[in-house]
This record gives sequence, C-alpha cells and structure tokens, in this order.
Amino acid sequence: MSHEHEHEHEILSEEDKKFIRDKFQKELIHPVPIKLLVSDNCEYCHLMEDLLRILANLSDGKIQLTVEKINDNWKEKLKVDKGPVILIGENNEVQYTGSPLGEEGWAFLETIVLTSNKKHGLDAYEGKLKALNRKVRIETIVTPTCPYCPHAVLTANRIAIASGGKVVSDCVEAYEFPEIADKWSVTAVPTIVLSVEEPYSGQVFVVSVPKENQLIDAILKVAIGE
Amino acid sequence: MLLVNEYMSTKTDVVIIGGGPAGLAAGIYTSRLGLETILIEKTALGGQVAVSPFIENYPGFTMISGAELSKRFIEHAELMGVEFRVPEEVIKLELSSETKIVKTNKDTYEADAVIIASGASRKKLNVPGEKEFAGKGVSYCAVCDGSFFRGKVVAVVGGGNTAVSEALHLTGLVKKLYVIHRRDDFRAEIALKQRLLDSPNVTQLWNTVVERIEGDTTVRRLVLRDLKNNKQYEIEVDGVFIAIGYTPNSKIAADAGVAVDKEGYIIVDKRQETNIKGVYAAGDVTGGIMQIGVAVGEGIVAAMSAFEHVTGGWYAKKKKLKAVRIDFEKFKEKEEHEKREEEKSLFKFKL
Repeated sequence: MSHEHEHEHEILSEEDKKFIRDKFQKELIHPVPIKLLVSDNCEYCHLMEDLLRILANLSDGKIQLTVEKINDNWKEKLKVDKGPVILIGENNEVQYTGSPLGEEGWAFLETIVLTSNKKHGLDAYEGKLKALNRKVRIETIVTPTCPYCPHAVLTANRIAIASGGKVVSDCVEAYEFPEIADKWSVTAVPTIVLSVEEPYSGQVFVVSVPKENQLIDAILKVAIGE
Repeated sequence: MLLVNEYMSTKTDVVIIGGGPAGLAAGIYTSRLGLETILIEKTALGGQVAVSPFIENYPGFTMISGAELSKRFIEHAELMGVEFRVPEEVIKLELSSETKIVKTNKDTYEADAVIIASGASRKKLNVPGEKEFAGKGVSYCAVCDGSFFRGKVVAVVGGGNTAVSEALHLTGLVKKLYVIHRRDDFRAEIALKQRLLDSPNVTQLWNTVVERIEGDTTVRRLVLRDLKNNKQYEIEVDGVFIAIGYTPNSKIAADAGVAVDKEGYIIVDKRQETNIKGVYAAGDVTGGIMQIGVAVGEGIVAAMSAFEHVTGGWYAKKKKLKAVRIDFEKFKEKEEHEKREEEKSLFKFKL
C-alpha cells in the first residue's frame, strides 16, 4: 500500500521543519487549541496525528493538541462518522473534514497562525460578523491537487476567525469524504456551500475563489434568512 | 493646513501584474538587477502552468508536472527577492505619468515601471447549459476536478495542446472519453496527439461542435452537431471539460490606455514595451505562441527593458540600485534537500 510506504518516510523534511519552526516562532502569539478526531478504518488518521504532533512540537507549546475518538456526541454535532476531522480554535471555528494534503498545506499552516495572532485582516467586518444572530457554516469542498482551493479555504477560515465562533469554516477533502461532495453534486472545486446551522440546510454559493466581501455579504444574507 | 492623503501608497521600482511564468521570470531578472520588485497575483501563483497535468517541452525537463514546475518558478523568484502580494487584485491602472500607479483591492503602489503579465483565461463555449452546469459536470481544470469522474464517461472539447494534455490526463481515470473538435485534426503537437489517438478508451468526434449541455442535477448529455452532414445528435456523458482556447486578461490595461489588438491581446514591440513608455507586457496576455518557454523569454525581455527604463541604461546610474545579496546558504540547503527528496512531498507548506 502506498500509504504505508509513504509513512515509512519522514512526514516532513528537515527543511520544512526549519521553515515551520521559524514561522511559528515569529508569528504565533496566543495558544492555539487543536482537536484531532479519529476513528477506526481511517486511512489518514495516523498520518494526521503524526503531522499534528510534529507541528505541536515545533510550536514551543503554543499548539495545544488533543486527540479524541469520534463518539456519538461528535457524530451528532458534526454530522460525520469517521476521521480525520481537525478542529481549530477556542470555538472550533475552523474545521478540516479530511486531511489538509497537497495544495492545502500552506493555508492550513497560515490558519494556525491566524488563529493565534488574530491578524485576519477583516477588522472592518468583525463587528457585523460577531453580531450575527444565527450561526453560519461555510463548507469549502476541495481536492489536494487544486491550487486555487486553499485561497478559497483561507478566505473562509479568516472570516470564521474574525467572527469569534459565529461562522464555522469547514474545509472538506472530497476524495476522503465523497458522500459530502456527492450531497452537493460537486464535480468541480472549490465549491462553497453556505448553511444556517439550525435547521441544518444549505445551498451552493459559488464554484470558484470568491472575494472576501462577496463571501461576507452572502453570509450576512444567509444569516438573516434571505 | 496639513494635507494628508487618504492612504499611503507603497513605492517600488517595478510592479509586475500576474504570477505565471512570464511574471515570475520577469521578477527573477528585475530583482537580480537590483530593482525593488512587487508581484501582484489575484488568485494563485503559477498561472496556467500550475494546473497543467504534465509538461514535456520545457527545455531541461523531459517530463515534469505543471504543479512542480510552477513551484520551482515560485521558489526561484522568492529566493531572488521578489515580494509577492497574493491574493490581491488590480482594479485600476494610471499609467500616463512617469510614475505609474497600480491600485488593488488592498493597496496602492507607485512604480517607475509596470510589467503586465496577467495571462489569459479559458474561453467559455457560450452554449446553453454551460453556465447552469458549471461545477455540476462542466469543468475547466482536469487536474483539479478529474478524479470526480473516475470510471465515468466524459468529454473534452477542443483540439490544441491544452485540450489534448487534459484528455491524456483523464484517459487514466475515466471509463470512456470523447474528444470533440470542430476540425478534422488536432492542432496539438504530434507527440501528444499520437498518444491520445493510441489510447484505447478514447473516441474522437471530428468536425463536431457542442450545441447544448443538458442534464438534471448534473450533466447527463451533450447535444452535438456534425458539421459535415449538419446532423444533430446526442451523447450521454457525466461531465465535460472545456479547453477551446484562451481570452486575454487585458481589460484593466486597455481601460488605462494600453493598446490591444482586435482580440484584446496587448500589442508590444521587440522590447516588450506597450504603446505607453515604461509599461511592458509579456506572456499569454500578448497573444502569439502561448508556451511556457515563450512566456519566460518575454518576461526576461520585459524585465531588461524595464531595467533600462528605470535606471537610464547600464552606466547611466540614474537610480541607486539596492544591494542584492542572495542567501546562497539557503540555495545549498535547497539543493541538498532536493537530492534527498526522491518522491514528491505529501505536504506543501509554502505558497
């Protein structure tokens, strides 16, 4: 199996580790809670656990990693029954359903940093987002070979971070979670779905990388039920 | 009374618009020549190359994935000191004065020279159903979306190198592949064409155009017309990839007075200079032969011309250049790392 083979190799090269350590040293400010949810029969759970442990080690204690099994509670809450699922932030405002592999890597790293230093660059919208009366969920469906996707994901993640938990940004890896991609009939990425959490229903907003103001406007409309 | 500008603008020697091969090559050169260089890219660095399934005609690389080649271009430009602004979108250019003003959605830049390398976007088919089924079976990126069609029936529309490369990428994934082309032969290189014609799961539909894309929640069929007998017929497909050519991203430049031809490609002279002094263009946005090597070459010419413009020529010393010190230790580390790394890394942590 190629997966086992890959796992024999070092996940990160020394050069990558140095790059990440330097970046974390310069840019991490506040602690970043990260939960990894794992399950049995999960191809990438071990890989994600190893990766996150390495990242936590490189963060000088700033990344606070916990690993849990997906129990009924999580199943009910997240509507997924397998791992890996990664939750980032005090309010679990950023979620990765599936692994941030391939092109997603750099945006994942940037998201950890932004969760820590809150430099999301959306100060002008922060008040409006924090005042949302309903929680909005952004699902960005991606593949690891799409170079445009991490830009869409990072925009969504920044909005979630700025919203202080009112918006949840979920990056869904389509090959690991085909059932979610199928639910929205996704055949091209990035596809962005916006939902209001209660009741849990949504619609495809756009298939492309949106501008931040477009996405925020759409979120504000969805929240008031337009 | 003290007058304060609404915003502070960022001053630099050169602004490059676009982060594909032309822009990155230009940036490598202007940086090495000592010009402060800011490169603005609205989506992802790498340009069209980043989503090319494979490249076999860029000298020095018998076979390299587009993702890998673009990664090398990006790293090279970064190492030489190009400052990237990504994602950032240019919304307006003011080019008539000696100082060129580049306004983006985030900042305003003042530069002595501007290199436009904004590339070209995939042309749309402009048939009913295309817009409606975008992302529901209609796609423009086989590398991004190909795997959604594993074991399915798919069509590629087009006959150039892009269409045939995408088709070759898809043959390994799909059950059956139609390649629909309005002529009776591909324009693609024979090296690509032959491999496609030899693929067992490919059916060519020559002299054929797509008239409609139909389906329910996703694409189900294409309504085609055979141009030889003028008969309309249908084929059942699960998806369609459109690769019928490109349209230049030149509107903002044209609005600022840069001369374009009737198709919208920016007109340049041998030095890659446009009709406006100090404004250069390179790569796909100038039309002609759209190849990575050509884009790189044009980017280099534009960079050298911009250098002469900004400094007044090699010995004029009109401008004090910044000292260029490249971190060769980083170079060495990178080379050693590349030697060690035999297979592609699972994670890509740098932009």
